[in-house]
Amino acid sequence: MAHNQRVKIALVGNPNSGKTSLFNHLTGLHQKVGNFPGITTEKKTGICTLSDKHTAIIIDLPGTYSMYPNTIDEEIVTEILLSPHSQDYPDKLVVVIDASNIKRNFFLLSQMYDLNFPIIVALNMLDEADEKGILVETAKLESYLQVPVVCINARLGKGLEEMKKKLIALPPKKEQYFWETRTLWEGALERIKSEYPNTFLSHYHILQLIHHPSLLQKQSNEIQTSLQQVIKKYTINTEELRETETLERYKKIEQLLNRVVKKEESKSSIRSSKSFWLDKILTHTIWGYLIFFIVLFLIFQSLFAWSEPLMNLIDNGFSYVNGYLEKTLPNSDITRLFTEGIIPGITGIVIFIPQIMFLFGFIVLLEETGYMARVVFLMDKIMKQFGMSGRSIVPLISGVACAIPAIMSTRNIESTKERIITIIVTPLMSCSARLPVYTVLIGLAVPHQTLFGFFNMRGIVLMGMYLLGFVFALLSGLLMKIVLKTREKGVFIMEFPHYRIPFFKNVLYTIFEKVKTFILEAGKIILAVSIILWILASYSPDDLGKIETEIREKNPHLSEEVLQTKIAAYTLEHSYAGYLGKTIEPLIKPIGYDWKIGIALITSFAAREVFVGTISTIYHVGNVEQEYSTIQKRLANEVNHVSGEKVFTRATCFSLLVFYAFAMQCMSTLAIVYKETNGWKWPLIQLLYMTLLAYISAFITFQIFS
Amino acid sequence: MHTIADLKKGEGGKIIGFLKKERQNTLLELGFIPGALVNVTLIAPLGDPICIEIEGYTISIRKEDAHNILIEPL
Repeated sequence: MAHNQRVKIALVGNPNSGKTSLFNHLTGLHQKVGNFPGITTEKKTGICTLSDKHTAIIIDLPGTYSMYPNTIDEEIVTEILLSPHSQDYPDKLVVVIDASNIKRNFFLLSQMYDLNFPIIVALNMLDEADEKGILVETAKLESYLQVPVVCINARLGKGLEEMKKKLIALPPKKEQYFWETRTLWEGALERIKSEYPNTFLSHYHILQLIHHPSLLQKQSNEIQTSLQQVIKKYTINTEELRETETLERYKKIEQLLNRVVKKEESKSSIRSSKSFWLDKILTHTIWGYLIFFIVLFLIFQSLFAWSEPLMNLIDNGFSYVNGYLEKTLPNSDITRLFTEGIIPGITGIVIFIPQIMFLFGFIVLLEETGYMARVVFLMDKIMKQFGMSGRSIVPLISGVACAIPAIMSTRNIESTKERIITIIVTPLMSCSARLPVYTVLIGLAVPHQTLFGFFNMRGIVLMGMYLLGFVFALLSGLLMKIVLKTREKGVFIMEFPHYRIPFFKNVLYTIFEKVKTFILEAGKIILAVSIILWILASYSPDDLGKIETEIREKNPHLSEEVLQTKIAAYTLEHSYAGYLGKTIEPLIKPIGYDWKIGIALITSFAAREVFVGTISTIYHVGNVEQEYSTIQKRLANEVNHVSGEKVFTRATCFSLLVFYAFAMQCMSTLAIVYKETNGWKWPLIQLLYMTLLAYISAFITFQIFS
Repeated sequence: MHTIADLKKGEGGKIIGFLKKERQNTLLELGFIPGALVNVTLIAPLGDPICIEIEGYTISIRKEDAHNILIEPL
């Protein structure tokens, strides 16, 4: 069925069976991650060298328990395996089996087996099986199934050479089935199969089409009619059919396992295992939550502590390069495009890398050790109240560092609705980019006093801002839970994977993959918008040269440095961005802002921290980096020329604080939401919601305090 | 009428059927077959989800689905 040169091999198996580890070992860095069309599920393909002469495309299909999908991820597997014309339709299958959960894993195997692809059974997790007293007699199994059975350790990459050899030499599968359907309905399936010999590998394939009408519709009209006639003639009820199939399969599986699996009874009780004791502690009512909060605390301390020096390094590195270019290259528009638009734009992308690296490092560690599943178990009921899943707790907390990697980590949330809600509300958590904005504004609005002698007022307000973000994230989840109607039919299922020491290579592969995705996808958009904003802020419909000359003439006594800042401020005010600010002024007046703040709102749409830089420029503060006291002094004294009143009153500051807490001032986030939801619908809804929330909250705040 | 949701930690039962036929098939495929033995190993602090030992492995399900599985207590 392959139309390209390379053989396509699909990896299938239960979730947590080790498929991904196997995939990483087989494909190394030659992986490509994308989306399946129309859905948010991730598609991973890669190239694998099977031998000197053979390479193959490996597709890592989502983990699934059955051909009858419980989640959107699982639907992909069913669809691909039943669509010979799909570009992902495999030539061969490798079914990865978690030998320590062999009975349930064999259910999927039995279905895959009946589809009649050339197939290899890869027995994984044999160590854990051994601990449970399960011993598989592979030779017997192979002789019964008549397909190759290989023993692998997917985590460490053992047994793969043998598997590759068997894959190259894999012959077509014999006609042997777990669930015999050839005689069903007086041989109707057999008849259809022989009428269309090149379309169907097996009868089970045809039967599956009865269960999936949307896939049946893609077949030819003749096939559709034939099948519909069968359904009518034998009054087939798909639910009953599915029940019959399941019970039949398990009967067969039980018989098979009795012959090929030896159980050592003394080892088999769950309760005697060490991991059970660990589970009891980690999911304990008191200890469970305590340990979790300690773990979170440690992660965040490390995240901020380790990322910051690296981010400063990147920032300084790019500044240095920028400075060098400014000095050596001729002073032209192109040069300035680079030094003020593109390079800052690239910096804005690269600067997220340390956080992404560390955050994902931690998340992968938590997942690989098996701890994450226990956390989900603890948090599920609470998060469900707010429209999310137990798995949402990680993205939410990560959002305090940065929403971008947080949103990327929502892919392991099973329910689509819960995942979308998590993606939409995560940016409401106060991320680290808001910190500079909060610091300046709190400095302006809150006096340097203590409450009861030692609680720093400013510290309290800062904590309050974080709390505000968290509360509204949860409330927004609740709102969306009520409002959104997504098709939900899934049964929530969760397994406790075995505890294990994480395999370092897997951690590195995952980090590498996330960073690569981020740079390539989100990076494109961030760069484009950076350039656009630079153009808006640097160019003017007015004659800037003339204005510069005028300023110099009028102020002959000022130093060059002060002149430069005056010119810079004037340029910004009269740039396109400046005119935009004046245009939106009537909109933002009710919430306490003038057009100068308006410009800052526009420029900080790129990234929140830009607010500080823009405000500094507008208010003639000069080349200020982290000198907040200088900014604050100037801003505190800034007076509106028309009304004679202070611009940065307490009301305005609080209004700005609330605005920045809720507004979507981060195109990087929108870019990643676009990528993760495979479309513009959700980012736009998110933008609209957050903007409205920000505006209304800022309005109320302003009215209260003025 | 007993369901898995009624079991306390450490208690077990034998599956005899399902309350709501519409939600049964996924659970059947996971091995929750009439005749199988189940045992509740852990219950989350707020009562939901429930971790169940069945046929030699463990799996957690939400209480609403546990309510659906009828058992004969042991």
